[in-house]
Amino acid sequence: MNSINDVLVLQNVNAKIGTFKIRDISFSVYDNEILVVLGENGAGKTKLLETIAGFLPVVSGRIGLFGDDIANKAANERNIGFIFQGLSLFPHLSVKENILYGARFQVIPDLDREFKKLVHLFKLDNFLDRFPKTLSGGEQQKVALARTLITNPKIVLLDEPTSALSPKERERVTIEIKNTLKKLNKSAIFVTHNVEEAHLVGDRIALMENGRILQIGTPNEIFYKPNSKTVATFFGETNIYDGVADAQDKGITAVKVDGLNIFALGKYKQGIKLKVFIRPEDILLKKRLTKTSARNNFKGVVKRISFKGPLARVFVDVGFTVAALITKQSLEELEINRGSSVYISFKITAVHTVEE
Amino acid sequence: MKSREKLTYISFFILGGILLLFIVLPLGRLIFAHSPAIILQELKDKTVLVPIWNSVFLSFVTAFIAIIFGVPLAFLMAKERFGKLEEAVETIVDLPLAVPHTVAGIALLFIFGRQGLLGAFFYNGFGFRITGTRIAVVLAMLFVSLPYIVNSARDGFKKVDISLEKASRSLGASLFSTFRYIYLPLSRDEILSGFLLTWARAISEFGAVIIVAYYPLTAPVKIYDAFTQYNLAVSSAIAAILLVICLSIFLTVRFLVRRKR
Repeated sequence: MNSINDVLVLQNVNAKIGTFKIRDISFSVYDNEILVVLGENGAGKTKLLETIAGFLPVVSGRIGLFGDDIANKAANERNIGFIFQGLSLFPHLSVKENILYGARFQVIPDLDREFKKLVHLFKLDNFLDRFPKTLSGGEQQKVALARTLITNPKIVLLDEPTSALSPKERERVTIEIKNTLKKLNKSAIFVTHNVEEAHLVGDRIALMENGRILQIGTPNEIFYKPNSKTVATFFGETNIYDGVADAQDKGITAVKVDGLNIFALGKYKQGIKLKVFIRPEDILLKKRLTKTSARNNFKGVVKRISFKGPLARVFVDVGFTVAALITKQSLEELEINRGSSVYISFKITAVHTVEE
Repeated sequence: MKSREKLTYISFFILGGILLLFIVLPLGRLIFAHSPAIILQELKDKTVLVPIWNSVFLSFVTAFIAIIFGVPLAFLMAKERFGKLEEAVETIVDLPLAVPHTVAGIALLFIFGRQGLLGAFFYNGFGFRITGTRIAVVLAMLFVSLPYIVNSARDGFKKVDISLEKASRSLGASLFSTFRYIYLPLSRDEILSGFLLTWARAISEFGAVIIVAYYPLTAPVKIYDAFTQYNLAVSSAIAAILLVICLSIFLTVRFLVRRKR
């Protein structure tokens, strides 16, 4: 089960916090990987991190860190870095004392050099004697990272570390955190409820809901190949159809949906029931039928148009209803209204199928 | 309408003012009843100086002991470690505030008196009588003043954000180190003001002390003693000195609390 590249391995971990349960969670974090745990508020993301860090007891299951079973170790013996939502800098200690706090309890080889390296890396030279409350959110962020990284943790857990920042700062700091972790070859679990942030930092994303991990994979896998309706709709509404596999040729299957054929990648036995997912942003809308490399082409009538910010969602009835996401500008250029006749097309690779 | 409003305020001010005067007048009169020369004169008298010293020193020792036993208890209470017994523990801690002090003294006598549970053990085993000693004074003071340090320290610990504890633990600190380096310094003001309140309460204790240890005299007992011997001069001089000491402690607490806000 353990591969040499596994830094952290969770096997069937269960935990109970009041009435909330962490249910049977298994996953691995690989060397130098940032795994994002993505989920709505209340999904149990923080509780999962706290279970790994040792703040919450494990009911059953195994947590392996570089091969050691740490599930029953005290939090201070796990050597796991933790960046808290509110950063939790010690208010009565200066920046320097904050960063050096961990050195009071463990021997850090080359402490002086390590300290200087991190202070330099985070450009904290001028803040060392200041106290946390006099720092900006971004500066506090850096102190929290330096304080954790100086103890050379085996893995870093970050609990919505940018939630206290302004939206403008957030993206910059998120990228900074990612680059720092990569530069120092640190594996990390990064918790967020923000989809864009998840895509920005995650080598892989684990989608969490109600104490369970629903799916784990690269951002593209999660986004384009959801293994369930819940995952598919997490990133906004998507086109989901019930279909039946029909003829198959050279790895391309025709899937019958309401009597029409949608071509998709995959070798399925004829007659097998499939769920078909197509992201609305992968659907091309046209006024006229033009030559296209896309295998799936349909003619239909615009039933409804709804707006969300700069985007328009166009619902086209082609026999079944297809939602397409286009910019308002394209909508105007296309001169599409309710009742317009349109053509839609999408590539075979845009169609994702899951056996039921 | 306007004048009715004024009238209300004026009458309230008069009533409230009378109350304030009722507090300030006797205390002020007492402090200034004696010229500093007479007070100094009294202080040279050993029978006056020793009880004052007893009160100041033994109450200080009491507050110190209260910290050693009270702060750990306060920490357990703040961390809700008693589970279902939480409320029971809180009630027990506050009990000394509700018990009349002479009653507390009698109760202590049942434990530490010559025939008391522990007192008999010490008396029969080592020939040592607890009552009537400085130890008895401290025990009586401790009983009535403990709630102040426990409650104050508990409030201080409760105010420390739990995530600071987690941060400390994740950085390798044991629970005790976290207590030592995070909880104690961040609750310093509450513990200090709890210490001063305990001290002030202990210094003023009369009822429990007089029952378990009439001698060695503490200042309140000496005041009573002199008063019953119709020596109001000595009695009031000691009272004035004790008042000044208590006021200094009280004002220090006020200052500490205000600085925090």
